[in-house]
Amino acid sequence: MTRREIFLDNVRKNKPKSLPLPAQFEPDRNLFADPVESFVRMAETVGTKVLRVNNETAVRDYVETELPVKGRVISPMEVLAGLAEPVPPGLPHMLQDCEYAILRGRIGVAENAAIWLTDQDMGQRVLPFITQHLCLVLAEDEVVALMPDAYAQIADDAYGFGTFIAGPSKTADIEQSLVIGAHGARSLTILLMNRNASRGADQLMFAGHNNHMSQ
Amino acid sequence: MITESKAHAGRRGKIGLFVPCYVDQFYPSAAIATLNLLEKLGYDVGFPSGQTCCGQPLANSGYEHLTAPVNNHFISLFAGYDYIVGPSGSCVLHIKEHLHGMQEAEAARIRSRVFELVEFLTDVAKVNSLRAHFPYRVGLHQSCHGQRGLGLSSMSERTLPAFSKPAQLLSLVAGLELVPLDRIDECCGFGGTFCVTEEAVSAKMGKDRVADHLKNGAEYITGADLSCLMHMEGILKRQKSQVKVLHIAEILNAETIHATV
Amino acid sequence: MGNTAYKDHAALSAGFNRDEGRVDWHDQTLWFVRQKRDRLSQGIPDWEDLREAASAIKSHTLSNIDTYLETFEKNALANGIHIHWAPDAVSHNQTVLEILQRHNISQLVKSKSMLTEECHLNDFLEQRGLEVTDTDLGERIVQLAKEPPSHIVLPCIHKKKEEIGELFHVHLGTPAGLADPQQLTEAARQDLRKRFLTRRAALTGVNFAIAETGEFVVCTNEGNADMGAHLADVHIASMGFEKVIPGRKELGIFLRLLARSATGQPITTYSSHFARPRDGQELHLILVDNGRSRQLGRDDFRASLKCIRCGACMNTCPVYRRSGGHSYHTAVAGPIGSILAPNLDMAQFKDLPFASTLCGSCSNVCPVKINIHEQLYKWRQVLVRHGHTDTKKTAAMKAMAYTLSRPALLNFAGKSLRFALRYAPLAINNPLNPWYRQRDMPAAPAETFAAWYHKNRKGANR
Repeated sequence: MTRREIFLDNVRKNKPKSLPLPAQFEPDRNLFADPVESFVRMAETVGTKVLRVNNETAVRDYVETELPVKGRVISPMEVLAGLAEPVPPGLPHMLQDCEYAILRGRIGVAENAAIWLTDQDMGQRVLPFITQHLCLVLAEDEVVALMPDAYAQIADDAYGFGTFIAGPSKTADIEQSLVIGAHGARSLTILLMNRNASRGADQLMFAGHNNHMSQ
Repeated sequence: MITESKAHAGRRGKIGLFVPCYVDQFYPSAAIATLNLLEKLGYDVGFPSGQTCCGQPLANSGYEHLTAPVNNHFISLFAGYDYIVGPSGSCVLHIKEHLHGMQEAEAARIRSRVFELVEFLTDVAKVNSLRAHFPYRVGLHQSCHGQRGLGLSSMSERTLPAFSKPAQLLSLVAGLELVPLDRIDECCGFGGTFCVTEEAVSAKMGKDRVADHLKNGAEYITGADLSCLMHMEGILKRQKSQVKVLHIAEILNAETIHATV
Repeated sequence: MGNTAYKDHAALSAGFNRDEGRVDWHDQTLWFVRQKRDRLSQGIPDWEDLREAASAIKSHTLSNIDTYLETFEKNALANGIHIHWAPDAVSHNQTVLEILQRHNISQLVKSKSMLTEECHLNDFLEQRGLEVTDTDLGERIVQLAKEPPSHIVLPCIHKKKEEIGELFHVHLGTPAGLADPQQLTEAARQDLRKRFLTRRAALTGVNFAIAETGEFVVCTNEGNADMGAHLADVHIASMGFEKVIPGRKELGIFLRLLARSATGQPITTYSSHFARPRDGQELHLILVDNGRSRQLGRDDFRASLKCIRCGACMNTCPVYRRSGGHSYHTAVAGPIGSILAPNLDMAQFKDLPFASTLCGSCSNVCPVKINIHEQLYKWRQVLVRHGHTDTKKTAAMKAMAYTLSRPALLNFAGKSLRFALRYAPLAINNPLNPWYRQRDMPAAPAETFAAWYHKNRKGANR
């Protein structure tokens, strides 16, 4: 018998009689009134800086004027063409001196401030981890309340790699002292575009006097 | 076996008083207070003689298979009572979970009718007032088997509404001030034979538990399980502390100011 | 283990308790984690329902585990993942070795995997001349100290920062006396970056494997699993077969529970879903049994396989907090380890189910509702039935059973004890009595309750 057969044979011999999969769990949604506000608050508690911006143009403005960077800035986002280096193909090791990576997230989760993105958003899988600092761009209407909502959206998406990122890399392995910047990014900034911005409209100019209002 | 007339002799039913072995030997005053309380509430309380032990020390040591004679003895003593009530959460829990015997129907009946004193007072007797008076600062020890096993109190690790049946009863006692604890339901480390087989950890747990009560100004430590109280008393005495342990029955039964022994 | 004298949990924890200040520190550190967990779980109004759902999903999955494993295999293969089946620890380790040898790789980085601890993979590879670098900071620290992890989530929770500073001084060249967690972490980051960039193979654990998609999920806060996996030519993931769950929908439940229970975080920093190898990379997944199917067949202990390795039962356990993880002398310490280990080797781990007061906090903190303390009780019965107990104890228990069913005998025994306590306390209050070492015996009352009752309520009853 192959190892596979031995393995499955042992499992079959020992498994109990089948129990049903429980009915789909319906989560309590009374966790918060406003998912976006909760997302922002939660992000800040996990060590993330959140900046509210109008739209992708404001993202570009931010990168142009505010990014305190010496060194490589890398982003696959088209709107940042000319400001940030596109993700180089080839060996991922080439990204080792990346100072700042700016990536477009797909889904934000209010209950834990995690942002979902896939390898299609990264260019190179290692980029959000190997970069010294990470910036994720998300639109307010991409924020969902709970993890089950996120998976309802992900559903059967095909990706090679996807990850939820909630905050900068951290550890508390030494005496439970929280240290930011373990192996991954030392900081995470979320550029949160307002509700209409992601749909390409930029009529909401009332917030325009302060494109990167810190929350 | 108790007769039918005996079973219904009391106004509110006939109780078989279950006095665990170590209570009988070392803490008779707790058993006396239990008896008095139940009698004051209008129950007819019998004390079947020849009680030994519930068998828990055997079972918790892995020898449940040796408990058959102990179980059968217990069943023969307590068959026929309306209720079986004991002042020890741990022993009552053991009976509730593990009593089986040759008369299995009677064993099942006992399992469903056995109560720890506090739960009996709150859930069956529905006590909502007491004449008790105990003008001291009291720390309440939530014994694990009573708390988690019998459901005497909510648990700090669960996300459920908070309640405490012992605290509910203690709140009826005039003059008594319940002291807050840093850790409201940490185990005292007694654990039956654990207290000797794992002496180092057991004693450390006991010292830590006592320290929490002392730090928060308790003059008495009470609870619904004398085995935990015995453990903490051993620590207190070794530390030459003036703080005393007292079974909750003695506080609930304290109609005059308790004279410390 | 093996060539040193066997020390059981009681002996090892007595050793740990020789430094009471350290016990206090260890207890308080872990209690702090438990409190963080409480705050987070209490923030979820339907936390208890979530636990119930997770538990039921695991029950269902375990009862159909063969089908789910085959579905997972089919989908993972379609994704381009190589699947290996390892019935035991040795075949797991050999599989890892073969993969590495095929690629002429002699060095690898490894993120946290309690399974590889269980299989003693590091020793196996090192004995064959390979180098393993543990990359989780806590695991790196214990690796440098040549110790096993003492906690499944917080591997070096038993170490003080000064001790870590000394290790780093010796191994990483940090200044002597450096004990600042921030600076120590930075030193490890710099050192491990070099290793991530130069090692061609990375091994990770697996938190969840998704049958319907053939992907697997690895959760870390540090990002070490991702740094390793995305830079390496070869990624090997090792998992116990019980990590399979039906679909992504179920992941949505487990990821809500895992980090809240483990460290009191709403989610880990990274929850990475590996579905396909990246271009040019080889991705291997090793499914491991190593006794799990045996446990699956034990009605009383099957539920232990629901464990998602959050460590909450350790943080809540009053015994674990005061005895330290190493006192359990097994890869997975604490309450959950004490019901898993006897399945691996009853003789070696016969002490662990007894290293508990059965307080029950573990079962109530557990995010998948494993009845841990009931299983501890049941393991005690099994161990005794299998003869894993000393004959003196059995004889004493038999004598106790005999006495307890004979009231006259017990009455006599009780009287003797009370007599001894009253009139010859030193006979009992001596250091050979383990109770007496740190605790006084109860005062002996003049009479028993039974005697009092006979005098005061005479004729009241039969």
